Amino acid sequence: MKAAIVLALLAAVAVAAPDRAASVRDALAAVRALGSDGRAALDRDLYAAARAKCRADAAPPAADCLIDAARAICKGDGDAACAAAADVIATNLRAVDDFVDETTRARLVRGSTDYHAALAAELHRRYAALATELVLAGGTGDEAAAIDRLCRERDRAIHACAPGDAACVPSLPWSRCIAALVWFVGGAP
Amino acid sequence: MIGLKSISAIAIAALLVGIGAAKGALGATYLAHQSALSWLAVALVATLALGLVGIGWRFDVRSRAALALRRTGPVVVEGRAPRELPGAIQRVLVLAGFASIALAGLGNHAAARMIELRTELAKPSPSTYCLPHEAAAPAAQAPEAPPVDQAGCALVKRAFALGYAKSLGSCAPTTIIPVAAAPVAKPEVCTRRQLDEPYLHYAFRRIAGAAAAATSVDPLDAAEHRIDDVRAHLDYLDGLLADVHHAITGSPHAAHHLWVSLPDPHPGKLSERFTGAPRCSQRYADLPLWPRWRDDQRAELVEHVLGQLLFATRFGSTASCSDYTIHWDAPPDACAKLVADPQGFLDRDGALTSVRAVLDRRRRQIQIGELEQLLGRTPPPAPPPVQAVISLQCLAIDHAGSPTAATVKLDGDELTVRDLHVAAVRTTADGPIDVYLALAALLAGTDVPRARQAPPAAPAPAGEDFALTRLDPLADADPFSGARWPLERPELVDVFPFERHLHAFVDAFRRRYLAQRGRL
Repeated sequence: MKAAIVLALLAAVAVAAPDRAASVRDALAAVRALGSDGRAALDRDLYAAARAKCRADAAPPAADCLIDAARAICKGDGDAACAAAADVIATNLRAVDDFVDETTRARLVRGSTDYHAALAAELHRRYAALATELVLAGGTGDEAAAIDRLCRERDRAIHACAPGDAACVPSLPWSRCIAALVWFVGGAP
Repeated sequence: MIGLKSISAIAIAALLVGIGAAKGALGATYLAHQSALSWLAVALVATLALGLVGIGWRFDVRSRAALALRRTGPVVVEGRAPRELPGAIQRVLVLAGFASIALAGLGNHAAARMIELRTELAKPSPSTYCLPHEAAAPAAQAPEAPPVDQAGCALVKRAFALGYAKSLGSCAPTTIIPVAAAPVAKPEVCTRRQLDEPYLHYAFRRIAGAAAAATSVDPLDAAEHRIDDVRAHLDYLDGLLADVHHAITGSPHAAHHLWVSLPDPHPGKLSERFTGAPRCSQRYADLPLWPRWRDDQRAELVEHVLGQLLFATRFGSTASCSDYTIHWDAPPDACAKLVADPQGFLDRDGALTSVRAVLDRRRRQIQIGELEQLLGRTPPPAPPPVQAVISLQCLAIDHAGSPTAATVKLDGDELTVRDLHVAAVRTTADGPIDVYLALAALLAGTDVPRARQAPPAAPAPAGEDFALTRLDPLADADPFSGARWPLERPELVDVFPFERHLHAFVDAFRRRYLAQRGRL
């Protein structure tokens, strides 16, 4: 059953060869259009929905559950921009374990009253390290194409990190790399 | 007509100044930062070079030959007095060239090292003199360990800080600092020459010490011990000499041979007769993670997978590629022939020499261990078993089968022969995954290569939004565990997380495989 759901999700993406840079551009525009308050609100709502409906406190939330939750949240807004931004947030929610190791997450749980805020701050530091790689990679003015290129090529090299190293970002799947950079770059002033 | 000396001076100056400029030695910033010492060194080197060249050049003598431009092109003409740059100008041009090169090679660092050379040479050598030990640095104060946070105490601490709670109760920090016992330092007495000790005194001390040692033992006992010692060495002389021979000639430390029934992907070139074949470390350096293969590149695919499994540094500890030999164009029944006639088959394929060398080297190491025990010394660690340093395996592409193993005897030692047959090597889609699984099973004896699982029928697409979230499950779609369908879609292959899944597979393989292997 799980395999069928995953295949359905992938089939929806694989119908036509997508212009990935264009989809990154759309996601960037959507994240920027939300503004700071809108981003924080959507992030909080989707996080709460993931914990309530997708059992995200025990394990990374399932992709189809997150999509359903995001659709329910964005239904009131009725525009594609909300869905594009929620897509980024949902992918970042699934990618938390890649960026923040278990020891650090346990430390955040013990040492903070608002785990989500503490985790967001920690993730922001890790996204910044990834954004530094984007800057160092150089490239032309089209940031969406640069993000797509970096994320496609980055996974071809090993990035081994010592546990707890906040300045090191490990090897990432393309979707998680894109979501992290779009969230950081789109949210930058 | 222009004299050849003038043309040469201009050409040499242009070339050397160009090289210096390319190295960045003529930049204004670089020149401005050169110290006086550096300029002196550059001037000395350039002048010396000019002087040496000038002996043969003879700047003040006109060229005997000149270059003339005719309709047919430049022509070298002799016997006429050509136009020539003055000798001083030629000197300046050549000097400028040498100075550029010297600036590129000598900088502030080189000049400083030259000045320090005399001081370095004058320093007393630690192997000859007793150097004073530096006062041990006081043990760095270990930073105070942060109090251990206890689960659920953040709110209690906040309440205490705000005054709502009178005490922290069980949330009070408790730290236990273990007391480390200071290691007892054994004072070491240095018997080498003291820094202020006169040479004659040192020499007398050494002679007196040797004489005292000589008279402290019974000479008959000492002589008998010495004779036994020499006799033991003579009994093991063959082994000792053979061990030295192995070390000097660079005998292999292990011999792993793989016969593959595919054509050689790197047939020997004529130039390699002179330059030699590329080293395996070069061949397997910088292997791409997941290259695209053509249908006619099956052998290259097998070689690539072998390199990823064993030699790619991106996945951690590697095997030593110089211990491995791939025999291409092997017959499909290579291992059957090997089992039937091990010595003849290995000899025909050029593998017998390396296998015998490793077996002999191992035997000599065992003998040296016995000698050390006989002499009452601590023997070296025993060498690894034969199966760890020698392995023979065959990969045949003819029909599907499971890995099989057999044992053969060579020079009294038992060797294991592993054989695997596969139906085909596919280079497209998920074909490389089958190659990974097959080679891993052959080399490390892992599970039988799994049959390719038929993917479920694709349901209708559920929507075209949330592209990133829909692609995210690829991170969990491990093709080595059966999730192969993303590899059949080029648009998904572009973004497939190969590193994640390959790293996990190769890491697990190496943990199993390298534990079975060793080197002498």
